Amino acid sequence: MQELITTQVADRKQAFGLTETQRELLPLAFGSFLDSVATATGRGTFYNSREEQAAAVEAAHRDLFDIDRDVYTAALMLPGVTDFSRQIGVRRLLQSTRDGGILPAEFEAAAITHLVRGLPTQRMLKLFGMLRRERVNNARTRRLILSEILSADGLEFWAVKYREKLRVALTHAWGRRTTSILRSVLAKSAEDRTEQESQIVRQNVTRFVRDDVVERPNVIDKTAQCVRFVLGDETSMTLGRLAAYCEAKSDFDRGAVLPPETMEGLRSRYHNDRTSAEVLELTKSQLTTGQKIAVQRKAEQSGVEVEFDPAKYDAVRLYVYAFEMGMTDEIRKALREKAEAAAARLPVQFGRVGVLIDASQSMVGHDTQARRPIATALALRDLLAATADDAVAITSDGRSSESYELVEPSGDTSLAAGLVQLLKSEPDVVFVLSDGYENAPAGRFGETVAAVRRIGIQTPIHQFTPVFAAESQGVRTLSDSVVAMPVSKPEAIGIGLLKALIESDVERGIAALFRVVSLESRDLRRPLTTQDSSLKPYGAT
Amino acid sequence: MTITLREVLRGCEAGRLQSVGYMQVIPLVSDLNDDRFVSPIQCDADVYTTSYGTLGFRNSSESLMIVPCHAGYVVKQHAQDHAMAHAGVVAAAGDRRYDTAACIQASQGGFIKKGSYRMLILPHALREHALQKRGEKNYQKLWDDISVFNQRFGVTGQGHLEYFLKAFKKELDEFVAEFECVPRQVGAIVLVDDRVVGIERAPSHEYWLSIWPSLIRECYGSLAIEAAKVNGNRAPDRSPRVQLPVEIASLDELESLIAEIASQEDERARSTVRELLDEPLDLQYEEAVSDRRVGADVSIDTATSEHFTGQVIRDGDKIVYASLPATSAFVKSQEWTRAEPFAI
Repeated sequence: MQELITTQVADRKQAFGLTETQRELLPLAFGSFLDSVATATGRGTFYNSREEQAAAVEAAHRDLFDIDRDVYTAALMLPGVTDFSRQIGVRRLLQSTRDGGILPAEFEAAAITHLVRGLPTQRMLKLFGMLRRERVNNARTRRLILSEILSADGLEFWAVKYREKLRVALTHAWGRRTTSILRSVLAKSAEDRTEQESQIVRQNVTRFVRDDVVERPNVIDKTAQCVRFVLGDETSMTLGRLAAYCEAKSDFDRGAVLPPETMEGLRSRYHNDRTSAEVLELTKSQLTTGQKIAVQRKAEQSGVEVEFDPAKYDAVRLYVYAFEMGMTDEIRKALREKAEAAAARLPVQFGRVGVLIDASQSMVGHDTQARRPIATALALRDLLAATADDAVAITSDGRSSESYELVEPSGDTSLAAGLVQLLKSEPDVVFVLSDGYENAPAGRFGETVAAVRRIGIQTPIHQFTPVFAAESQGVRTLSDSVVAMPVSKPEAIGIGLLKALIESDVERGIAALFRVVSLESRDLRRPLTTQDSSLKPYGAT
Repeated sequence: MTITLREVLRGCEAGRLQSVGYMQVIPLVSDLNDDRFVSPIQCDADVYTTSYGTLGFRNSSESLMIVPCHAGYVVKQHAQDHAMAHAGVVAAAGDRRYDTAACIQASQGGFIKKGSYRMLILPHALREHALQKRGEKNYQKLWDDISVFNQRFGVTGQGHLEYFLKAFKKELDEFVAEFECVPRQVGAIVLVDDRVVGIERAPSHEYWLSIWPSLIRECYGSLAIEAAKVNGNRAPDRSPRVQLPVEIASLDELESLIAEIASQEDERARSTVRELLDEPLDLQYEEAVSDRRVGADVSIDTATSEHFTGQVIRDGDKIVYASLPATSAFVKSQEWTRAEPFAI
């Protein structure tokens, strides 16, 4: 790995004031943490239950957080960190107060905002639910919840789609008493409120509406109406979707502007004579990008045509979809374009690359994320092949594997013969894409790597692992002499490179970490956005 | 009635050997797939206790449910953990209580509430005792055996199986992680330290997939942990049992050596099994269950041979389920490890 990264990192070090103890503990804790945040999803895997995963993830977070809070915060911001890990991280940061650190305090506030805004809405609301369950209710938390909800452009849409989750989050932030008062006060028109009531609305609602929006008074009115709706008051709704929600209870066709799942709920309660297929047909224009791919099977069964554009989805998602619905030329084209674009951003290029894909049964993954490990491996295969002038990819059971084609996992894991087969084609580098569990027999891969080195072949061999292993507190390595690097999606390949760097040189690794999240020279008070060029994968230009 | 092990495995072929540390597994694959039968896991059966020593199963599926021999339940609620002392069969949409079950958690009161729980199969060392006491209606019948079992592993806790499970959780989890089911697999021959320790067969691939984690984790995993203790308590070695030679000149030579060793290891394990195939199994009739809706008329027999003791479920002459752990005497015996170590 060293030879892969040395050329990618500027030869400059920066002192971060790390103590000897931190320097000693960081590599192990950081490695375990990166393994966790790059692969853990909060679901079970083929090998570990959800509870085992959760316990191991918590331990990885706690260990790094205890060593250095700022390094922990910066690591959460790395591209490729899973949403689940970010939820856990934000909760941990909000749970405890900051006391010193190697970076300014504003950094953490900006980072938390950035992390929360990067989450899909349902995951952001899930995070707020976690904060409620854990009884995290300090001023920072209340401000975060209220500002993220009440200043959201899509609040009206959220109100009909996530009504209960929003109610729970807002009630947690305001407290039950204030919520109850607000419900009563907002039921009155602005003119009918007393000065004290207006003050309550200003204090708890209006001040969270952004100052820079066009026609702020209108936005304030809309926000107040959304809050009223969320709190259960459906009288005199004038906003399009809120009014449609109320009217769709008696008029099915008014539900055309509602999210499908909301309308499905209304159908089951008020329109038993209508079918789910009719709901899908009525609301298909409201499907989110994620839903369009998710409902394809149902749409096909219901005879409803729901168009989706493969270009809008990441490669892993497209592979999962292709496993379920079949591979098409359109998907192949999108996969090719994504692989080539991601390869162009990577800091490495190869002449001839060898890729060995673990196609054993365990790469199917857990039922709750079926085929995600193999989908990640295939997307990574495409990316690695796209970084090279020439690529040879084979599976662990000896099948040749063409880019942009599916590989169905089955059977046991024997990687040693495949490694030798690849090395015979004289690649510049070999990548093994595996969950790290070998059984035919266990240990043969490591032994083969050692034999290859004794023969005198020094071709670099790297392992990328799409699965977090709870029992080993990280990703499983196939051989002591091959570093296993975590990866949840091809674009996040930089995390693996960073892990290897920190293991070999702590100071340089930490410098690279902060450089990745662009904190060395930027104005930390400005909230980071996902569009920031500095947040591109490590080494990207 | 007497049959042979070969008869138990009729219609199966041996797959490629899987080997991790002390444990090896020869998958049994077959095109015979009888979907009339489901496991408690497959049909999400409700499990409960109504009194100490009575374990109940509610089968809400349309298929006949075979409760694997020595299935057990360790629950988190304040209730006494229980295990079956034999196999069971519950009719489609049926509810059945077995008052011959054993408590596996001595000083704990309370009954298991009706619900779906993770199933285990008793550790190998306890299964022979449980089978011997299969007819006894005495919920305490395994407490002494569990105490001895725990002692062997240095675990305190008289009559509490959960103490062992807790003490070796990490190791047991790893066994589940290490071995993968292969396509069409319906059974396995399990070896620990080159000794055959059990033969298992399920009615279908789906049934097998559902019970395999329980078999490999608690039943056979416990034996592999014991093997590690016998070998000086050293951690299970993850390196291959037969290693590559140090002197290898080329990739071609390495490639052929990998294939050759795999083939010889496979053959070695198979030859160990081959010696046992003609062993006669005495079948002792236990009960018959008929379910016209499913179209099944099965009988449960306790099977005993020189080296194995377990249970077999037949539909007519057809073996639909078999669980045959090796006897403790056979496991301890060294005579069948007489095969010469592999050498090149």
